[in-house]
Amino acid sequence: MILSFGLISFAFAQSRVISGKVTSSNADPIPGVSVFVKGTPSNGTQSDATGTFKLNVPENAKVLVFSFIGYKTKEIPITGSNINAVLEDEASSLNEIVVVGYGTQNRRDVTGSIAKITAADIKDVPIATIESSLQGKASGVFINSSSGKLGQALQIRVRGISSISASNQPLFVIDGVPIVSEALGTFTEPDNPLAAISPDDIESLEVLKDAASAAIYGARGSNGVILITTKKGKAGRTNVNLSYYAGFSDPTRKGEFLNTQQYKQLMEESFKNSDYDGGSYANSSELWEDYTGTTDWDNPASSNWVDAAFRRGHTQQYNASINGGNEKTRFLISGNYSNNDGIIVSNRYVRTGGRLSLDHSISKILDVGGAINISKVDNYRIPTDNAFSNPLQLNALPPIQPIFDSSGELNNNTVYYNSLIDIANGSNLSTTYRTFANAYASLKITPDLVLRSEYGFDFNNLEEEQFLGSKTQDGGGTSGYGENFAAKSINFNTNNTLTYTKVFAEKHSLNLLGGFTYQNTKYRSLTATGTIFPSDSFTKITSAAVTTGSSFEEAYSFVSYLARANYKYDEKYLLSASIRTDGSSRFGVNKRYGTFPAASVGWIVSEENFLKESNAVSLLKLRASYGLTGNAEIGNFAWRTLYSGVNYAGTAGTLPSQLGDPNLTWENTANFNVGFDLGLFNDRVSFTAEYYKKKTTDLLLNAPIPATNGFTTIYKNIGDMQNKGFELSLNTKNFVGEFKWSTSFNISFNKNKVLKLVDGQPIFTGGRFLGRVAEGEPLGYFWGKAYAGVDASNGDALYYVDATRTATTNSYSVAQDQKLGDPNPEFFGGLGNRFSYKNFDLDIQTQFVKGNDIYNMAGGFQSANGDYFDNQTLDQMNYWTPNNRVTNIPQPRFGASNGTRPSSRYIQDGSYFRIKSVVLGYNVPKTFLTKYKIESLRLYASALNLFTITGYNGYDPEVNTPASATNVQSNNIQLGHDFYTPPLARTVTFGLNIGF
Amino acid sequence: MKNYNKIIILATALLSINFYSCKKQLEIEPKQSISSDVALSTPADVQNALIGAYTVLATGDLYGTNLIFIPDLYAGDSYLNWTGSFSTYRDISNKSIISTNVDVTRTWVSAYKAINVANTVISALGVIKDADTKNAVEGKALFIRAIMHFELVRLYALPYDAAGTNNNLGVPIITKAVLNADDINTTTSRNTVAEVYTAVENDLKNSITKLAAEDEKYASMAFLARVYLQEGKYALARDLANDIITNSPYSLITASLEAPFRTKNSDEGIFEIAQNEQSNAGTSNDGLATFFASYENSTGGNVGRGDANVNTTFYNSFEAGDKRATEMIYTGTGAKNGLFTKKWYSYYDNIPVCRITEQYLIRAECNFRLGTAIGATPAADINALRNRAGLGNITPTLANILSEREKELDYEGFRIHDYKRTKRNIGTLTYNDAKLVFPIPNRETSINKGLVQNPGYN
Repeated sequence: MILSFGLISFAFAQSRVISGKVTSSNADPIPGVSVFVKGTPSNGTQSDATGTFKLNVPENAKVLVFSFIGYKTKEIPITGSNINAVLEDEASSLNEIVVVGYGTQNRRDVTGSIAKITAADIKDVPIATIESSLQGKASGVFINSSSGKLGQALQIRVRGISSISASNQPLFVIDGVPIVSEALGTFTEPDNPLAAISPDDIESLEVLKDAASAAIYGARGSNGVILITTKKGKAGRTNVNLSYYAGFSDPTRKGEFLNTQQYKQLMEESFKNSDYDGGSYANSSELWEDYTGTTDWDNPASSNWVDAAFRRGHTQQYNASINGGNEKTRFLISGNYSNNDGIIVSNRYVRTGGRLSLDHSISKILDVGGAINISKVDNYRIPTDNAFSNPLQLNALPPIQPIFDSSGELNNNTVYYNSLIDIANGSNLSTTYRTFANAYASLKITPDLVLRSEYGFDFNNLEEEQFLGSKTQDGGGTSGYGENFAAKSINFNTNNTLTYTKVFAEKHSLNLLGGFTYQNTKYRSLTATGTIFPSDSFTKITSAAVTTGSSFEEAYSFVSYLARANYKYDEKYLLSASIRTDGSSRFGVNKRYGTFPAASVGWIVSEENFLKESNAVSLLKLRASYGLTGNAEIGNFAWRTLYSGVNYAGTAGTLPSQLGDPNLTWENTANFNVGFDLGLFNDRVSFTAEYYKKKTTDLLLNAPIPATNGFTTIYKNIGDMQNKGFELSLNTKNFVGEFKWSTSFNISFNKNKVLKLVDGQPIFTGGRFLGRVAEGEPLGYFWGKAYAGVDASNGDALYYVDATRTATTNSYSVAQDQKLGDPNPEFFGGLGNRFSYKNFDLDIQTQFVKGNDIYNMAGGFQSANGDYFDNQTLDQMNYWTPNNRVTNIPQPRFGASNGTRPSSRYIQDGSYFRIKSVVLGYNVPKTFLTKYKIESLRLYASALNLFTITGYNGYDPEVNTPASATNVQSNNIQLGHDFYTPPLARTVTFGLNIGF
Repeated sequence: MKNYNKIIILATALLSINFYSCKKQLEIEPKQSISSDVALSTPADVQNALIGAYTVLATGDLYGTNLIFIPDLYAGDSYLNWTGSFSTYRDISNKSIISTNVDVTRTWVSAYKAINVANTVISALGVIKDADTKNAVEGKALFIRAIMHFELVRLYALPYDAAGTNNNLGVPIITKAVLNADDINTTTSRNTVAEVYTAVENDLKNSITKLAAEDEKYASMAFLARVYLQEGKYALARDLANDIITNSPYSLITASLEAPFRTKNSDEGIFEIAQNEQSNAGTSNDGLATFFASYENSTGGNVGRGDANVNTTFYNSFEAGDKRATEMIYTGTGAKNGLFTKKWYSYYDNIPVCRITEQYLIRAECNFRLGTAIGATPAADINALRNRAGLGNITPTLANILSEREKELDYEGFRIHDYKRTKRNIGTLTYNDAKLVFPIPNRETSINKGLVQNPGYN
């Protein structure tokens, strides 16, 4: 583990002693730093607790190397016998390296818009998957968790929504390999493809936001690109790190519903006002018994169905990693295990994984290496929001109905299905095995010309197994139901690039890149279902009397050529240009290839003579970029007219399934970005402001056509959309002495507007959904009837007749549809503060979203003034009566839909401010540890989603229920809809990290 | 420099290997579907497409649920109660429908999808060289096109008036297939009710001629008889009904009232929608048994949601001992209590859309109205049915005949159409009230400005 101290010196030549002190940029000593002679890492030592070191070096030793994790490696020529080294913090260095597409660049030289998160930013926070770490930290990146279900994919939007029918998720690239990020599973809510990577394995995450940075990804760059770099081995001593945390979680909020007495009061009023169902019954008791088949009205229980959906969650995670190496070979091995019991009953998530990364220099000019990451995830999922078996829908059950019947079994005679039966009498497990592997070879043809060849594989293997017993709703009618779904995706990628870097005549710095990439992804799946089981003891399909099966296969490929040139003059003037040509099997046969150019300029004003010596200004940079990116997420065969095979009770047939357009092609986005970076007082204050404008043309639209054509839609490139926005971020180091305090703040404004649709035709699903797409409005704005309160004279629900909102009517169909709100936020961002004093540190990250409207689709059931048997929210008790005339809740009238149809009655402002994470840590002093041969020991307490301030009455303002299992367009348009969507969890954990 | 040369050659070689091996990789074919350019190239392909049309008819949007369920739900006053949570059906039951109603929309969309497949089959007939096969395929395609237009015009337009000119707006008549993007029409307009009925009659008559050699012609004849009855063309209806009763292989099953619904391809089923465990309209959110049934099966699970139950007033209107009540209506024991019809009992039974019982009723009613006795006297036909139901003979009046019809064909999707053609009130609404007609789906009127919405809807 610990390198032998270099007190053994080989007597090739006379040796001498070099000594000195290693400190950080704020003059603190750094112990444990590896100090060795360049070229002979075995001849080295380590700095002690005071940062002092002493090393015997041969007479001819030229350079001393200082290396330590978290700091930039420094090389100092040996000029005397005393050498002091000041190591720069990796994260805050002025010369921060940023990963760009197919290479890296110095932060100073970047002319595009790139946001970066490093491992240090996400340390010790119990997040399940890496992309949630971006929330509130990267300007321009809007992350919406959508729901509190474990393992569900997050919605990520980089600089607004760019597409209506194609996917809006950014491209994820891990160590140069674009990974398959489509969900494999059959659930309506997509599973998370990044779940296989443990957050502890991430070195950095870069988000490429504008054309200058993302156009190098061509037809896949319109939604932004997220580059993920995993940790690699470093030369120097071998470090062993172990960490563990454990904690508990609760829902951030639960709804408030009626108790037995309130429920009976409200329903009695409701039954009475409808004359006991139009005179069919004499009293509530009879009505209840006939409709529900139970006598609960007369013998009411006092059940808390709302709480029955939740439980206290538990989480724990173990992590171990070993890294080390020398100049020739560097390695990193890590393993992790994470076990999460969610806050919703039966929801559980267990991940086990391991990684090995190896880099080796075969010779001075040839480096090879690779990494392999394997993981297994067991996800006990819960049904989709819209299913009666969604545990959250338990809040609809009347409190007068008992949870368990008189025999102690779960009550099966409830108004809606008692989904607890699915949990007791069934099982549902999704298991994913995922392997990422990549290998590379890098050849220095000349010192300036490097050829790099990379090969990557991404195997994703998912199996879903579900069984529903004979007591369940879906299994009961068929004597049990079993389903087994197995899917795999095999993704192969190769990148081959030639990079030329040269400085001419001291002032001209040139970096050229040319390359070729190829990607092929195959997807295969298999389903088997079985019904009619002998009993609930048999759960495998082989025991079923009736079985069905099917298989499915799809594939797609991309062939691309790319080139880029970066030119820098005199460290001041920057010019960059890139171009990429993509061909894909997804594009129509008439339009197979697309070209995506981009150009950008930058001016580092602070390098000019008039500012160079300034003490105040450490960086002043202006930059602008313009380019084209594309969106190829259009489905694999959307351009074809297709027939599929169908079954007519045992006879096979074919049916036209899709009408196609052979001219179908990718969507184009023209991106303009202008930015301003300012660093003051040696970067103690750094500030960035950016303005961007993105115009997407050739929008893929599933254009609606009249159904009299036999089809309802056809995919065409036929729309335009625009996103304009403004991003600001500010980082300050307020105090840098013994007490440190730094603040980071970012805020983003984005305005989305749809410019052109098919013949100006709005796209509106209607039914329960309010999201609409129309020219001149933002995507997904709410459209429908405007609720106008209650008629004080009779308790009728009122709606505004038209958009002027002057006259009202009590007739829902007479009221005209109008704009009701906008689920897109006006602005969002985050504010983080880091404090440290001596060995304690405190990190508080908050995030906020303002101006997003939320439509509670469940309102028509749960805030419906007793329209049906559903339990109602507490606010409904203020219903209209002749004695309570001034209220917003209409008169309860059973079955009459009085004010319960979709309307603005159920729209609320979903703005929120959330204390996202708080980490309080203590680093045990080194002096105490060295006796136990421990390098570092950190203890911490951490909280996630600690506190939320919002005006929204529902469970969680960060919700989005999916509109469809398969229709991307519906999911893109229906934003901000809440339909019994589970809230996020507030998690508190305690943990420790030990380093050896 | 020598080393550099070697390295450069090696590097270029590596690059070019990658380069050339990948170009062909952009040609990827779909595996679960076939392109339209190969989908209709052989006679077998055309037969496959015809089967595809039947799958559309079998969905819950059409005969799988809605076309059988909605006519009874819509006219459910004192007949069929809806207690379920789906607000779309609740609105239909309450006759307060909005143009975005999902059931109104899905039935329209699927009907036109079936029509388009039928037109596609007709357009591809040239591929079939054998005259008999060609006629059989064409006859069936015409049948599908006709019955879909018939169902559409009965639900989405004001009723046909035997004595009137029927210039009210009907539904668009579509006879041209949409095979590719160029065929799309966004300005289709509604034809009149008269035009639609004429087109339906012509298609069915052509279908009968083409199917002359097949038993399937009886399905076309049965529907044509239904169409004539709806139009009040009693003589034509009577003669067709008589032809079917006399010449077809179908006959009344006197031993059991339930058999036509339990036995697949029974003696009574002139046209049935086929279902089985793997191909059916649905078992939890769609399907006739899902809404109409409510009982516990042998393993204790609940079959059906029991959302549609038999109204006690209607139940009490059966005579004592009438097996159509005692055997065909049961008390629910599953998800809900109440009285339920036994016609729709299993998720996997076939759905008889035309059965010979209906033809007997048509013959009897038409004979009575015309004062004739072609094939049999009205009394003979009515009493045959009454006897089967365990009741004695009567000398029927028109009211008796209509009452027998109501009881024989209850919950099979006839009620609202019968009340409209006999001009009887449904609840407090007259037979031609605008509320008894579906709105044209909002998605259609908003895309196609040429489609005029029905009165009372927007």
